[in-house]
Amino acid sequence: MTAFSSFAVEADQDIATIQDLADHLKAAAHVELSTIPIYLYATYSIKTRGYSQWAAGASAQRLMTGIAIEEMLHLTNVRNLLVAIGKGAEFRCYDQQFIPKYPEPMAGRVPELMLHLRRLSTDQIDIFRGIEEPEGVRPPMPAAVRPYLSLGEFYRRIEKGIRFLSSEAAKDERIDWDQARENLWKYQYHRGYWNQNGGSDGPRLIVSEDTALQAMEVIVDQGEGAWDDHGYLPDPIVRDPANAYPPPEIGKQQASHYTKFSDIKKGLNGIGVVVDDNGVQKFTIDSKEVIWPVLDDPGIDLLKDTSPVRDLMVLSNAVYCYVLALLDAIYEAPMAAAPPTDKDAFTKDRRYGLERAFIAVMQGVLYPVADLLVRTPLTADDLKTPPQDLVHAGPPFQFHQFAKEPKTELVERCTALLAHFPELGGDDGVQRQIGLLPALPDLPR
Amino acid sequence: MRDEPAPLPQEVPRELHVCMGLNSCAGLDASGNAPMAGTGTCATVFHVCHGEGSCRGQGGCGYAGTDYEQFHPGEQDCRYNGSCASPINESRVFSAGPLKGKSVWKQARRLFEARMYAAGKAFGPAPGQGIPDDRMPHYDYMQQPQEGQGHGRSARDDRE
Repeated sequence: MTAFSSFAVEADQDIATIQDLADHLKAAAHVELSTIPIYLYATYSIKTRGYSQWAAGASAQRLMTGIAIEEMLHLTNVRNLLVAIGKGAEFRCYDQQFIPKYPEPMAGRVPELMLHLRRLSTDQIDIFRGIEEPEGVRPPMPAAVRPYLSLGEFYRRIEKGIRFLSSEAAKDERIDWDQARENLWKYQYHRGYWNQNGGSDGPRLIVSEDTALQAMEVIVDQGEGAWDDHGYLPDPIVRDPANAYPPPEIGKQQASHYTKFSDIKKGLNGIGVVVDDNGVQKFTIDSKEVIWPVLDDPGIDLLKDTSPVRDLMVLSNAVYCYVLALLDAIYEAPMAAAPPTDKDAFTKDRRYGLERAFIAVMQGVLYPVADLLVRTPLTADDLKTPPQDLVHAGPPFQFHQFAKEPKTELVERCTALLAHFPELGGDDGVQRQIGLLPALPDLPR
Repeated sequence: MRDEPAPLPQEVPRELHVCMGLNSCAGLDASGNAPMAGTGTCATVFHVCHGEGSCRGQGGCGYAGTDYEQFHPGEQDCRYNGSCASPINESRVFSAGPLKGKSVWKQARRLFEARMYAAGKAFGPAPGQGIPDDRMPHYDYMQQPQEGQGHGRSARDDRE
């Protein structure tokens, strides 16, 4: 069973109430969040930063980054729908019960698929392909023993529930889409999304049955591919009629996550110099020359209390949890609605500031700390069990209980680490970026 | 959608730059009151995203774009070559490239200072390092969705 206790949905049971739909969406959100750290961890383990066309690993790294960002999009679409049906207040990302604990089985999936934080490798790519596996790849199992076989199957149940709860047949349980369009849209995440390595669909404002179904369609199609396609899709998947050019038949295409992972495994999107002048494969995703030898499931308990690397991993956990708490704060702050006549060049807006900080903390704090960890070798002075081979640290993506206001704690933890990791400081380092973050004084204790 | 574009700080800016501290001469900033080069208080161009700059040097950079495109905030060679929104907010960092995770405004200022050194021109200190994150430019203002809005056509509709 999953650590997320609310995952009590039975796949073969129709969704008949708004609360039932909300429970399914909370379970879906947990599934989406559980993929993000393991995708990021594998991406961080690629040695290159990919900053030139000649840099090793650029293709695999870019694909992986784009996939991780699309998983964030899926989490956003799911949470936007939770808000639209009036259940947004029931859900928080910064919640010890919600944050995945690795290793753990993928919630509700049959057969069991264990999720680990591991470096990029053929074995790990096979796990990723299992997560995104299209319907029909494995034979169906008897209904009585399957919560769900694929995410597509799971989301189709949610779509069926949306259709029912939008119809008159739902009676008192009918979703109030007018309330979503008139008020609750302000509490959804819509601005502040870019993915240069992925599809061009962005977070949907969910204000109707149609927009809800489209949001779910983006999740399923980007992940495992369309039901009748399983591979390549039009880009974007959902097109605004007012901006419908180019038509899908001549427009861009995007590959599903399953297809992208398969291409990485085959070496089509490789890890550097795939073939040398003699036609010999030089590096693959299993070559230690191009992948950092990071710990599997690097919990902080594996390290001695005296190790400064442990403190850096704790900082990484605290930053990860700050990101989730900041996302909660965004969903609690309504977007300001400006009248069409408002022509001011700027408006001061707290919600907008939180959104900018959300992007900045992921790119300017979470990533640099993770990058520093994967480049840091662990010794017998760091690990409780001395390493037999070369092994590096990694971001643990664990729950962190803040002892004080989160920004204040981040500042103190970062400052205390400067003696051991001076690259965190300087006039353009992690310490500066943390200093620009908003305080989160209302975090529940 | 807005009926017409919102006004810029100056209707006809005399110089195009993407943030505070990047004006190349006195009085060429958004307010027209900068006492000397490098001391201006804001951008003279506004645009929302990648490839939308209508002239050279208008890319704010940081959110999207190739590694090469992102390395040159405020210094693109031609219209539509720039990446990302202008003006640059203070917490914005590069999402890719050799400066991944580093401040976009600081790189824009470094490039500006290099241009000024090369031209032999004096410049003053910037009043800040980007606009505050909570100053929302007009192009990101939101309006309440109307009935039927967002009911786009999807790939699934086309297949059915």
